[in-house]
Amino acid sequence: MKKYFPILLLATMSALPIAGHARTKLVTLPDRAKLVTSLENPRYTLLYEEREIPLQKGTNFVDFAWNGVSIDPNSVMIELLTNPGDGDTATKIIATGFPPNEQALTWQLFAPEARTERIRVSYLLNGITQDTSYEIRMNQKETAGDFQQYFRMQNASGEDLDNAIVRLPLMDDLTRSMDSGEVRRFLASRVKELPVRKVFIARPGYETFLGEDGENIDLVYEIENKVEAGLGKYKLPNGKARLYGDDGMNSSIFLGEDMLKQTPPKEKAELTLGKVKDVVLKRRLMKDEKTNVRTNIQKVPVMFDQVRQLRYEIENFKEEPVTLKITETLNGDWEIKEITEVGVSTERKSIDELVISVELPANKKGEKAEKKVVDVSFLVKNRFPGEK
Amino acid sequence: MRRIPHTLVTAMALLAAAAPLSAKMDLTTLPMKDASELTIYNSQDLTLGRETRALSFRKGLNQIQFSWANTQIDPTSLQLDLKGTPGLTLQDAVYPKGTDEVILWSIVAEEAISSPVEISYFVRGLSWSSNYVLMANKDETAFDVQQFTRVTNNSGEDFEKAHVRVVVGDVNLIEQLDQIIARWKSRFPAMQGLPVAFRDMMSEGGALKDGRTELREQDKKMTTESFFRSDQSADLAAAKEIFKKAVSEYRLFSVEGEEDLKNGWSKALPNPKLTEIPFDLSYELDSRRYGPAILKFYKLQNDEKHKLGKEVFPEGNHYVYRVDERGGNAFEAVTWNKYVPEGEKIELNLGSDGLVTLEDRELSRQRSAFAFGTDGNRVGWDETVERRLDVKNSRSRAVPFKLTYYPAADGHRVTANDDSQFIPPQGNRVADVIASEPKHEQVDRETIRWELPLPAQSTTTIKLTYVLHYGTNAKAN
Repeated sequence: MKKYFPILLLATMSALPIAGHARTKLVTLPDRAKLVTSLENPRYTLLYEEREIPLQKGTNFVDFAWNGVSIDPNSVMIELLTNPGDGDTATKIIATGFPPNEQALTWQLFAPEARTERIRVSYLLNGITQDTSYEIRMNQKETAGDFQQYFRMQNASGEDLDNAIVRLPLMDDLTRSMDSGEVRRFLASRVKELPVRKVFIARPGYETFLGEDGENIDLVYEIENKVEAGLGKYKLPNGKARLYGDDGMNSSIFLGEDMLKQTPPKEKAELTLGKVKDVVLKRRLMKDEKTNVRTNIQKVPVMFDQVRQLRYEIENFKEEPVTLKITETLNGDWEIKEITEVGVSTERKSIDELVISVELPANKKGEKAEKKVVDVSFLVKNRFPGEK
Repeated sequence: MRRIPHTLVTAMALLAAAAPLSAKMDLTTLPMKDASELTIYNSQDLTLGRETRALSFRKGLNQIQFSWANTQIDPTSLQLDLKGTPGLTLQDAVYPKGTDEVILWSIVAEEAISSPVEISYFVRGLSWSSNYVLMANKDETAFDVQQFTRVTNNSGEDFEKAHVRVVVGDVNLIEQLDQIIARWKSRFPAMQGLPVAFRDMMSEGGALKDGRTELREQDKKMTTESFFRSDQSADLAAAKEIFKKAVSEYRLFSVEGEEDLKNGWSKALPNPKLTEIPFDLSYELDSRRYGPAILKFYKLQNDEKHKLGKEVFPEGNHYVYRVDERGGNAFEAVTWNKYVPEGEKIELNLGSDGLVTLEDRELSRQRSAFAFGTDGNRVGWDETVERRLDVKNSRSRAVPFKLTYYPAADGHRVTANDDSQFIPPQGNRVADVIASEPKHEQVDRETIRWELPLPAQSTTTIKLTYVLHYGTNAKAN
């Protein structure tokens, strides 16, 4: 594949006499002194390079061309690092010319004396994409995991990045070479023992009762983006998370994967990896009654209260105690009228979401699992006909 | 794309005073332009071109020919100004048959005289724009800003040593130049180029033909140096000054000195850099104005307090950078901003960086105050809604946050009432806020607002209770 990259050329014109002078010198500049690929902004890739360029006294032209790569020409910027400013001794940017039908521009610079100027040329380059992924290797007890955050960079820009400083938002600068067409993955951060909480969550549909078939129970791992856990400095960006479990035989198994949603510091992230088979939840509608029914003169109901009783029958076949969270999706002016089981806690997250947490004792080996029955009655006030 | 050669040529035909118009004409190449000026508008594809030349007139009838092959000039706009020279009278202007790119002016001179004349016309294809580069400091409290005035020439004509002026403002045209030019050309659908008589003239005199050839050769050789040629007469030790002036309801920016504007090229000229301009960083959510995302803004005013206020800022793209803590620059956003007169607010919308988020939860909704019609159907009710809004700042610094909220629109909507016996109240829903913590500001009947400082890496909770009135309750409220 033919490789393209921006080229910086320098043409210097002697000061006087001017008339009739063509370009007097065309010098390929020395190698880049520094090349930075800034990926701090997820929407744009900013490249900048620094070079030492020899300037003659008077007018100098610096050509910048970028055949084969996609650059926003309006973003191309030159900064004078050695002699900036407006004073008499400063190097000045006089004008910028954009030729027709060329991926190029020319800066006209003025130097009050022959000198070497360090310049920084920056531009927005299309074709470099980035994403984040995570890997967590759980310990055998599944209480903590080796958390690794990876940053992946794909270079389809057409530009080869030689010894580029790669500037990422969450980590120290790295120096890497990366040809166009390459994909490179960096380890961005690592916490060797990140506390992980394993929870079981059922999310039944409000109107769907599977009865004897049992509800699906998700296997969920919770991590917290907090300083105490070894994280908490930055928001964790969206990314695929893969979890591996210690199989106790000096190897591991793949537990599953989920998208980790962006998680600000001090917030919790949930990763749903699969379905739980060793805990069974049967959910039944025991009562659905209308009370306080008000009708119009044609005896058609116009509003009423609703009483619903749900029953949860739960069995834990695991030889360890577990907590099952049941997330009910509700709406309207509801309240819990009655809950029959001690050892059950509820948290009203919002009008749409009630979390019922049920502590389940370990199943004793060789014995029949104990069935736990939880009844919850809801009163939903002032319902209108047709509302679910 | 093929480069269009330099095509604007002029010729003057001089006739003896008493002689009738003859097929045999003297053909003289015109003297160089003494001065040319381009006034470029950005609200329309319109440039006012003006050039001045010194001409020698013989006693009697003189003719001046002006042609503009391959240049997008509005033929109806061509004007010849004799600059009030006594003894010179402009008799008429003729667009000769058989060509759509020539005009002949007839001028009667009482005596032989030399005089400057000015030719002006509207031309398409030149444009200008403003771009801004902003470099914010690490703390995002102040920035340096530099405006670049960029002129682009796609007119088909090379302009040399032109005084360039650009106009800020919306100028009205009842007809676009491209429509005028197209209609003009359609007058002569079967004929292209100059008629035989004019071709003969050029062959005979040779000057025009040679001139055109010469100009083509120049085009082929055009290099960076020739593009910047006007700047070579003396090394420019500083960027050219751009003078700014108000004219009527327009702002006129004049570039110091002369510029060469070759066809196809653009040229960006820097304005003086304005340094350490203070601004306010702000995060805002206003679903009606900006949609559902929390946006980051740099806000300031074009006034003395912000070390500005001495000039207007034309509309344009703003490339916003920030000095990176690790050295170098970090790119924030590219954002377009409208024209800003002196004293006006500047709001640069940098988009969403995802570092400030809002979680809006409805905690409860209770119905009450039911009203029933004579048929027993519901005709009105209230809903008391409690919400909790958690605003999370993931940044390692405190930031201000402005939340504009519309309770009647932003809140959870009640599901449709499908009771066939009941016609639900139409379009009546009004919100009254009855409690908020922190306290809100009531902007108008529908709008409330909070302006809150968000500490670094924190969650700030807003509690809000309001009543929605439906149906007859909304009418009565």
